[in-house]
Amino acid sequence: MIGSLAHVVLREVPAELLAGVASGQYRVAGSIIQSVSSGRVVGHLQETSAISSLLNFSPLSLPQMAIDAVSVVQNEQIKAAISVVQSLQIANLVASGMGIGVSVAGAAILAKRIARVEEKVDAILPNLAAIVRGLEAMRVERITEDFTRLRTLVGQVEEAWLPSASQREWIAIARDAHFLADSFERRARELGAASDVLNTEPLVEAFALASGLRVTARMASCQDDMAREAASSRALTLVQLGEAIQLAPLALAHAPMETAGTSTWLDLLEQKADDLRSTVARVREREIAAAGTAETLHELARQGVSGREWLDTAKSEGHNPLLFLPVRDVNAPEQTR
Amino acid sequence: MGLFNRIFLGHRIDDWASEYSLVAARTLNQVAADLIASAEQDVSNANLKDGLWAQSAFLQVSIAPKVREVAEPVAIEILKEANTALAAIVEEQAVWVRSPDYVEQPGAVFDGARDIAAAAVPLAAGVATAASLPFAAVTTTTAWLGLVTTTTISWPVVVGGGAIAGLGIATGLLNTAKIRDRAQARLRDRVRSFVVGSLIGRHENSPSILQQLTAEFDRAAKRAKAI
Repeated sequence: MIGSLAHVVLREVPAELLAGVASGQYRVAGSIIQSVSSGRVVGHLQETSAISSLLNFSPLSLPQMAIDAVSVVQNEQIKAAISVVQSLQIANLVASGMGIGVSVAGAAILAKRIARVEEKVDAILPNLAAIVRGLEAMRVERITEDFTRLRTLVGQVEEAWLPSASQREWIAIARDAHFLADSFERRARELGAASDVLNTEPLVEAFALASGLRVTARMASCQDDMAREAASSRALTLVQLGEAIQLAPLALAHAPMETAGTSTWLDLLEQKADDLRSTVARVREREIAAAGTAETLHELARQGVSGREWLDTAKSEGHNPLLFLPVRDVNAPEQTR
Repeated sequence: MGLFNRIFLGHRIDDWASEYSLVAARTLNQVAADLIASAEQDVSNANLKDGLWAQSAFLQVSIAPKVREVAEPVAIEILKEANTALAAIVEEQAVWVRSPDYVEQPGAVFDGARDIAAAAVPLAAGVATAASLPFAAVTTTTAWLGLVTTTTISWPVVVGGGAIAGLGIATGLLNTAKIRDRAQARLRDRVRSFVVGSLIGRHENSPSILQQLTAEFDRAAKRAKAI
């Protein structure tokens, strides 16, 4: 392990914390483990390259992995990794690609995620043709161009990890990612104002991807204060964009008044609410994941760990799926390991 | 309070507002169904006058008071439960910050936990609550929900007291029973529209009880999240 981080970060979540999560003493929200009773953050999770490798095989499904031609040793490692992820109840976050902590996912995984989002945008645009016609920001060719730029940025991130790359490359990536994030944010706001807020979902997801790259790039270029600002801004923007995605108002808006005062109305309301629950849950998970990343960057600063060091450690870890950074009382005497 | 906990608690408050909006919707829908069913006796007993040109007065005298009598305590009870649940969330938020080992992020400022718990509740329950609901308006004006003081049914000009009946006898076209059935059917529809509209309808100018409750939950959630 690298530098000062060797003294503070753990390669696995302590057993007592895992037990605490199982018993309900602690809860995992995004990448944060916190006390249920006091709200105190006790530690931060960070995905590693090992978890990205899991996703390269298949979604987190053990029977499927058993079918894949992997060695016995690899299979045992995968089973152990899945066990940790499932015991922390973060399998959804991993499988959805939202990431745990700062994204260190490789280009292939990010490209798949971008493709999924672009498909969703392509699917909704024809239905909104009349609405988007009047919105300059929603011109199809410009959206397509921005997704191409996003894919290009992902490729540039891969290159920037190479030894010959300099801080200049990372700064350029951060600036481009910032601009793209702002573009997607603007589209989401304009479309949300002109149509059903649920239509904005894929654009908000694109914003999350682009702004996540901005955070990673600032950390990698050793601009930790800018990374913290980017992470906080990202979390707040996601919360604002998701403000109107609330279960009851959306369900009630779709309950037909012709059947009001009957059990049919109630059944339709419950059905609509059930249909919406997964969307609302996904939006909330994305927001809390972003907030968790911002919280982690603040903790790194408190403990004097650089963002670059954090990323390098996560990327170089090929065995354990998660790193764990315990929250340290900065006033406590230093302990040597 | 740090950004992470603010967002986490904000989600819990949003969940609270949605949960109680749906509770209100389910409950008031059932109340509406029960009131419509119980009004059937009144509709069946309504005379031709009530059914034809005194529908508004019929609603005001026979239906509106029952709507208030049944729905008002239900709405107040929903508010009480919602208030209790929100106060618990806000209190937990205050407990977190009062915890001796809580670590503030730089720049965060927090004080006045008790005031916060008081400020975040949607409404003070009880009589004050009832006064803010539109029930009081029902008994004082029929303009609520678009009820009009004159019938909208178009009648032929009545030249004398017995002209219509006389006309009917002369032509053999008048069928009192059929007119009465149709009048009752229209009255039944008016009753249903009134009850549904009062309790769970969607009206911009005259919000239903459900609309007002959900608006209050939304306002309270915004206040609680801003703390």
